[in-house]
Amino acid sequence: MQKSLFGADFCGLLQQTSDFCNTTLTFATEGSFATKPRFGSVKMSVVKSGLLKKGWCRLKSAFKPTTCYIFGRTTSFFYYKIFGARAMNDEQEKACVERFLILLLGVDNRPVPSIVHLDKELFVLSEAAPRVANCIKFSPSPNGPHSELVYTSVGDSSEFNKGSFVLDAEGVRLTGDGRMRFQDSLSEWRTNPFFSETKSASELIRMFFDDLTKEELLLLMRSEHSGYFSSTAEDAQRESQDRETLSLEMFRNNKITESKYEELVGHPID
Amino acid sequence: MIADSTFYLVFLKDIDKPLYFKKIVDAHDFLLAPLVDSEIQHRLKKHNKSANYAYIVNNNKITKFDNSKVNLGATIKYFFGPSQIKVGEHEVVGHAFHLLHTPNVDLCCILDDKDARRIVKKRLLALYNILKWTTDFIKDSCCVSGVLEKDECIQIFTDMKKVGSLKVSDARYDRILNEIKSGQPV
Repeated sequence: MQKSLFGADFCGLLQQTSDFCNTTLTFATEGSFATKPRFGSVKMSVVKSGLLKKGWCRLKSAFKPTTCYIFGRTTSFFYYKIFGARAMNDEQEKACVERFLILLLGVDNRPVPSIVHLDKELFVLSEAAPRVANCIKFSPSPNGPHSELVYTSVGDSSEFNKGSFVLDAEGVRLTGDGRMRFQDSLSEWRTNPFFSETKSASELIRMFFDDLTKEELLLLMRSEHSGYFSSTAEDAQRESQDRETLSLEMFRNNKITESKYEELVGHPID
Repeated sequence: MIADSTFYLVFLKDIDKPLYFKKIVDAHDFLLAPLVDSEIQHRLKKHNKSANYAYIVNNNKITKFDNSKVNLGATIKYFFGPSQIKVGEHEVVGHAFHLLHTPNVDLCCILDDKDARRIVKKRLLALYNILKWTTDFIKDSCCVSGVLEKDECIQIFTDMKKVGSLKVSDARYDRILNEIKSGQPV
C-alpha cells in the first residue's frame, strides 16, 4: 500500500483508519517544492493504543520521490504524524500564516491594537503550538521576534482586493471576507481537538496581550526572548530606564503578577 | 477538576493522608498539568514521601494532560513570575480556561496562589468565578458533595492546622472546623 503526501500535508496530523503494516509512504515532490528544497529529513511517529513508535525518514533527494517505512503491526486505527518538515513553498507558507492570523483576529471582534501586537501574538501562538511554528519562521529584529509574512499578509490585503485584513488607525481587523473565512473554519473544524485548543490559545493571547501598550509588549517579550532583540546599546539603555515604571504600571493594572514584577525589576514591590 | 500542586501536597506531603486523597479523587475526574506533576514529585521526594506519589500514578481518575500539540500555559507565561511558572500555575490557568469553554465539561479549578488569582480575576472573570481554594474544596467535599464523612473532614483540618499547612491562620482553621461541626457557615 502506498500513501503520497504533498505540500502542506507534511505539516499535518493525518488520520487514517487503514492498516499501516508494511506501508510505504511516498514523499513525492511537486512543482515549486522541488525547486526549493528546505529539509533533509522528516521525523515521524505512529501511535496505536497509546504506544508511540518514532522514526526518522531521510529524504534522499528533494527532487525525486523517496520512500520510507513506518514500523507498525497489523490491525486498524493507526495514525501517523509528521514532525519538523518544511515542505511548503512561499505561497503555501503565506496561506498557512493567513489561516492562523484569521484565527487570532476572528476570536475577538475588537481589532488587534497594532501590527506589532499581531506580529508578537502570532509568535506566542507559534510557541504554544508546534504546528503553527511549522509554517512560520520568526527572526530577530530591533522589536524582537518578527515575521515579514505577517506584514506582507496584512499589507497586501484590504476590503478592495477581497483580502482578509484591514489595517487602520484602530489596528488590524478582519474584513467581511476574512470574517467569513473565520466562520467557515469554525464550522469545518469545530470537532477537531487541535483546532479547539488552538482557538482557546488564540483567545487567551488576545485577552492578555491586546491590553498591553507597545512598550509593555516589548518589555515582556524581551524578558522571555532577549535573543530575538537586535536593538542598539542606546535602545537597551532607554528600555532599562523605562523598565521600572512600565513594570509598576503593569502590576498596578493587574496585567502581571507580583512575582513577574519582581522578576522584571529585580526587587520586591515597595 | 484541575488543581495546582497545593491541593495534592496537602494530602500527600503536609498531613500525609493519602487515603483521604484517594477518596476525594475517586469521586471526580482530575486533570494534572505536567509542571504541577513535576512539582509534586519534586516536593514529595524532598520530604521523603515519594511513596505517596503512587496514589497519583496508580489512580485512573487522574489524567496527565498532553501539552505537546498546544501548550495553553505557554500563551500566558509572560504574565507570571518564575516561581509560579516553576510550579505550573500558568498551565493550570491556561488549561482551565480551555476546559471552561469545552461543551459538556462541568469544571472546578483549585488555585491557591493569591497572586495568580488576582490576574485571573482581572483577565478571565468567567474562570475566576469557578475558582476554589483548597480549604473550600475539602470543606465542600464533606458539607456539599458528601464525599467525605464529617469526622474525616474534621480530622483533615485538625491535621492541617497542626502542621501549619497552606499558611492559613489558626483562627481561620477554627472557623472552618466550627462550620463543619455545626453543619452551617459561622
